[in-house]
Order: sequence, then structure tokens, then C-alpha cells
Amino acid sequence: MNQRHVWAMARKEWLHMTRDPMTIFLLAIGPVLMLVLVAYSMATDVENVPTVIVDHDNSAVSTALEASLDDTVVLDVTGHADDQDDAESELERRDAKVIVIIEDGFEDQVTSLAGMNDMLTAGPRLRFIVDGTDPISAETAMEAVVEESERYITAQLQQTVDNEAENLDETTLAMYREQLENPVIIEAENRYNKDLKAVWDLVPALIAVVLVLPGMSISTVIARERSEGTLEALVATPISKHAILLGKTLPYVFVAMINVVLMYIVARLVFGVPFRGNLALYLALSSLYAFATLAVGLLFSILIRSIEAALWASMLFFLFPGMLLSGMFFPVEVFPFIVKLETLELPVVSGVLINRGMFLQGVGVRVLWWNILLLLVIAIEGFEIASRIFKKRIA
Amino acid sequence: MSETMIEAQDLTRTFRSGFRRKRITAVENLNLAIQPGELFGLVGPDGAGKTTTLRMLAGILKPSSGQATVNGHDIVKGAEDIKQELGYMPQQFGLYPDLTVDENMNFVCDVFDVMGEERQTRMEELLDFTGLHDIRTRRGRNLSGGMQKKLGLAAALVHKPKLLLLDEPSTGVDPVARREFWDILTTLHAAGSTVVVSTPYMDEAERCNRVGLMYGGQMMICDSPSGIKRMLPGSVLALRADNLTLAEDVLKQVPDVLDVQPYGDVLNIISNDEAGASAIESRLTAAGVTVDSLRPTPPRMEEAFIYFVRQYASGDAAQAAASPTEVTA
Ligand SMILES: Nc1ncnc2c1ncn2[C@@H]1O[C@H](COP(=O)(O)OP(=O)(O)OP(=O)(O)O)[C@@H](O)[C@H]1O
Ligand SMILES: [Mg+2]
Repeated sequence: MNQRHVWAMARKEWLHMTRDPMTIFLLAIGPVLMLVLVAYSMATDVENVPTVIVDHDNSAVSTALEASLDDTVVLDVTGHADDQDDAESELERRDAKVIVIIEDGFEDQVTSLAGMNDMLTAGPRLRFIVDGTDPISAETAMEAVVEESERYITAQLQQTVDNEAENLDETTLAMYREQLENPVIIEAENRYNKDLKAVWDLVPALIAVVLVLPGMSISTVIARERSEGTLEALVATPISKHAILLGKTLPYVFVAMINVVLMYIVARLVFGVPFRGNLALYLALSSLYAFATLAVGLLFSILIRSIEAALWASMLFFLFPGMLLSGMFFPVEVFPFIVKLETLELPVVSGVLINRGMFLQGVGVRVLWWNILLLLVIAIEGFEIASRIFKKRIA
Repeated sequence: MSETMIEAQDLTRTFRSGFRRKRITAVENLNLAIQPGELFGLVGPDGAGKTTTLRMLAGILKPSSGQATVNGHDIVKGAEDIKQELGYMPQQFGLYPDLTVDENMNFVCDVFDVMGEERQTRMEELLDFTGLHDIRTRRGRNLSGGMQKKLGLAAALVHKPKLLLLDEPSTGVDPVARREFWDILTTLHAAGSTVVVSTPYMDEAERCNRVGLMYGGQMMICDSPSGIKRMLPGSVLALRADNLTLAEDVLKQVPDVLDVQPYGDVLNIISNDEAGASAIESRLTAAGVTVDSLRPTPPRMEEAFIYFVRQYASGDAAQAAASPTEVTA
């Protein structure tokens, strides 16, 4: 392949891109805008989350707990259910997002020393179930319900210990008081999303998702040459088809990397997402990911003759699966078929996993090798197939 | 080099098009030999297959059957070799509308490896040559149709190709520019380039060494302009009269009149020799037409072209094609 031809093609494609200020603006800034917009709209303040109570204890204490939960800004006790099954069906119907189950004997646990001992060993007779479908409100609601309950229980126990103080010797009393310093830990069960990290989880995934935009716009490049009638003159020149395809891709890789850098900055500074991986590796993998999506976009561009159809095809291929998998609508964990999608060689799946892994878990090649391999295969095979299908002919 | 520049044998191209995948034969069993240094004109009515032929020769369209070599390279297997030494100008503006004249030219130079000083001088030369010098920074889409054609030609010439395939290069260009265009082609031809040009203009066909007349995908006649004009049977009479519409109707009834072609205020009559001018004149006078003048005129490509195309169109294609070849033989 003639390198000069590749650069000539890349320069020409870059001129097309920059000729129209709106195009280059949308290409360079669009993904960042989309990231900010979507992440913000999902991360709104959470208030009055409908909460349903299953009260098997029926005591003054349980009633007081309900009232103090209802008093919080975040939670709103909307009703009672007879048992857990009833409450869960409300969760399924989306009438409630939080279930608080107060077991029989809860009053005893917070009002007597024997009960307190029982709580410290066997855990409180109190359980929470949170609908994790929407990670952001779920996280806030979970924090609220746990915190408020712990505060309430600690206050109750404080009182119990104070009441019993005169019946206890110095050391036992000190031990109880020390216990109260570290409040009881209550585990909340998250029904649909085991590991809530909300915005932190969302933003890295979104970065991968919006990075399909360059892939979508490259899917029209060949169709555009065809419809503008410029393909005929181009294919009658000696430039090799590899040079045409690679040259067309390079400016898009460049734009994608601008996007990556901007989105990285926004993720860190605006959303405060931690980055725990190796930055150099991250940039390298991002360009690999960009290459892979662009290779697929290029393939669409060769296979599909009209601009509109190419755009639709790439949208179906990239955008919808990407949005579904990003955790915006459903948490990733409820998709057992994610593995199947991976084998379908959807680059966006690997992109989401790599971004999440590198931002939040700080993992490297050792963990991500499978997705890296997949992206490499997609990128290389994509170009290979594209250059095999692309003919320097018209019709 | 005496090797044939273009040689086609039974070159055929069919398309399937439309909802019912109807088969269209765009070029059918085309045989053609063009020698180096020729200025060859390809003429024929719309849809005759000129563009399809040129595309196949440029190596950008696969023939359905038959074969051809260009500059010694097979048009399928050696397509990429052909493109090294070929200047191809498509019928439609093939350059980038959002790039300027300079940017378009530079891209083409890049692709043909015209670099450095050579590029500078070549671009200056071509932009002067085509008169595009003053609008180097104008974008392709903002050029007039004629300027676009000139840019297309300039782009096809950057690498001094051995062979030029030009598809209607002067269509939509004003008469002055058209004349300039042909002066350029003549210069190139004189410098030894082989030029194949398709054109709807018969005065342009007249300027070629040889002309191929295509009809319905077939090469009906392939000869020098004078040869083609000689194939026209009978003679051409130019009629000036008061009522040409009536005259035309009358003449169509005369068996010896082969064709009648209105041409401004003149009616060109192609007649068999037996029907002399006097016989025709008396027929016209009898019908009430006042004849101002009726005299023999040398045939031009125009008359020949219209005559032959009408012959083919009326279904006499085989006959019409057979008789003139006898004449030349
Ligand atoms: N890609 C194609 N698909 C289907 N039919 C085609 C295609 N290209 C050409 N044809 C048909 O082949 C025939 C010859 O077309 P071609 O363009 O070669 O004619 P032409 O002589 O160049 O005409 P014009 O003078 O109008 O440019 C036409 O009937 C045309 O409709
Ligand atoms: Mg044509």
C-alpha cells in the first residue's frame, strides 16, 4: 500500500469533514454533549421514592420507624402490604421501589439487652428490598433507607442501654456503649442490580456508547461518493482500494480520539468518576475500540448503497444495543445474553466492558484480554472483509 | 509503438434493472480496434451504450462477456495497470463539490504521484490551459457547468496519460469554450496522445480521425468522417421554400426520397439518384409549394448520423448496416 496515497485520501476526507463547520463541531463535540446530557438527566435528585412496609412486628417501635422513614426527603411510605409476596408484586408493578420488612421480634431487639445481643449476633429483624432497575434512584433510596434505619435503631439502643445502666457493672456497660459507636450494619437486598454504582457505572459505559457516533458517520462515506458521482472518477485512478479505505478511516479515528479525551476529562471533572486503570493503556484500547467500530461502519458503507439506509443500519447495529447495554435502561447484570452478544462481535459490548473495567476496577490486559482480542478481530476482520468486498468499480 | 491501443472483441454488458429485474443490454458484441495516436469519436443517440463502453475500457465496469485490452492490459485482470496510464473523465462531474479547484487538483496529483516541482509546473500549465487560474480557490459546486468540465479535463491530464477516455466532455459548455476544448484535444492529439471521446455534437465528430456510431448497444458503423458520409446513399439536396411543413409531408410520400431533415429554414432531402432535383421540384410545385431554391449540397456528419439512426430505429438496422459496408468494401 502506498503511504502517500493513504495520507492523500485522509487529507481529502479531513477536508470534507472540516469544510462544513457544523459537521466538525457535531463530530468533535457531539459525543461529549450527549454524555453530559444523558448522564445529567439520569442523575437527577431523587425524592419521595414510593416505599411499602410489611410490618409483622406491629409494635410501637415499628410504627415509629415507619414514621421516621416517611419523614425523610428521599422516602415516602405509600402503603402497607400483608406479606413479602404482596409487596414484591407492587415492586413488579412499579408501584413501589423500596420494601421494608419488619419481622416479628424487632421491638424486642431494640428495647432489651437480650434483644440487642441477639441483633448483634443474628442481625436485625429488619430487611430491605430495593428495585435496582434504575440505578441512580435505587442507590439514593438504598442509602436513605439504610441510614435512617441505622440512625433510628442506634438511638433506640442508646436509650435501652441508658435505661439498663444501673443494673450493669462498669465493664459490661462500657462494652455496650462501645458497641453503639459502630452502629448495626443492615444489608439491603437489591432485587435487580446487585452492585449499584449509579453514575460511576453509567458514565464509563456511556463513553463507549457515544463513541459509536463516528462509526455511524463513517457508514455513509462510500455511499456519499457514490451518490455525488465522485466514485466513478476515483475508482478510475491508480489509488489502491486499501489506501482508499484506510485513508477514509484515519480522520475518523482522530475525531474519535478527540472525543475520548474530552469525555475522559468530563467524566473525571464533572461527574467525579474515579479512574483506576492505566491511562496510556486506556488510550490505546480506546483507539482500538474506535478502529473496530469504524471498521464495521466502513463495512456498512460498502454494503449499503444509499446514505439513509447505511445510517439506519449502523444505528440499529450500534446505537440501540449500546444504549441497552450501557445500564441506562437496564442494569447489565440482568442480561444473561450479554455473553452471546459478545460472540456476535458487537464492538460496543467490549467497549462498555473495557471502559467500566478501566475506570472503576482498574483492571488491565490480564482481565480484559478477551474483549481486547474481540476488538482486534473485529477491527482486522472488518477491514479485511471491507477491502475484499470493495471493488474499484462502479456497479 | 504500433501495438493496438484498444482492442475489443464481442464486448457485451447487460444490466438487470427495475423492480422486475428486466434485462437491458447496454453494449452488445462490440468489436473495436483503436490505434495509438488516434482521435476516436464515439457517437450515438441517448442510451446507445457510449458511457457503458467507456467505463468498461476504463477498467471500472466488468463486461458480461467478451473481452478487451487497453494498452495491452486486459480490462478485467489488468484493470489497475490500465488506470496508471489512463485519463478518464466521466460524463457527470466527478470531482469533489466541497473542495476547491486547487484542492481537487492536488488530490488528483497525489493519487497519480505527480509530486514536487513537476506538480507545480503541471498545475500552472493546466490551469492556464483551461482558464481556471483565476478561480483556483473556488469550490467545485460553485463552478459553472463549463468550468466543471474544464476542471474534469485538467484533472484527467495531470499525469500526461497515454490514453484519454472522455465521456461527453463538452456537453453543456458554451460554443466558445467548446471550441477551446477541442483546440486542447487537438493539441493533445498532435502531441501523440490517444483520445477516445464520446459526443452528441456532429461538428465534433467531424474533427475526429474515426468515428464509431453506436445504436442500441451495437457499433453500427466505424469509419472516418468522410467514409461515413460517403456511405450515405444517394445525394443530399437543400430545399428553401415558402412552406417547409407542407413540403416535408409531400416529400415523405415520394418513394425515392430516403429521408427529410428540417434544419432551420432549410429542408435537407436525402434522395436516391434516380429521383433527380427536377422530379422533386415538380412534385413540390404540383402540391402547391413555392420552391425558392433546390440544389445539391455536400453531406455533413449531421445528415449521415440522423439518416442512419432513423434507419436503425425503423427496424431496418440490419439492412442499413449491411449496405454501407458493401460500399466501403
Ligand atoms: N448501472 C446501470 N443499471 C441499469 N441500466 C444501466 C446502467 N448503466 C446503463 N444502463 C442502461 O444501459 C443503456 C446504455 O446506457 P449508456 O449510459 O451507456 O448510454 P449513453 O450512450 O452513454 O447515453 P447518453 O448519451 O444519454 O449518455 C441505457 O439503456 C441505460 O439505461
Ligand atoms: Mg453517456
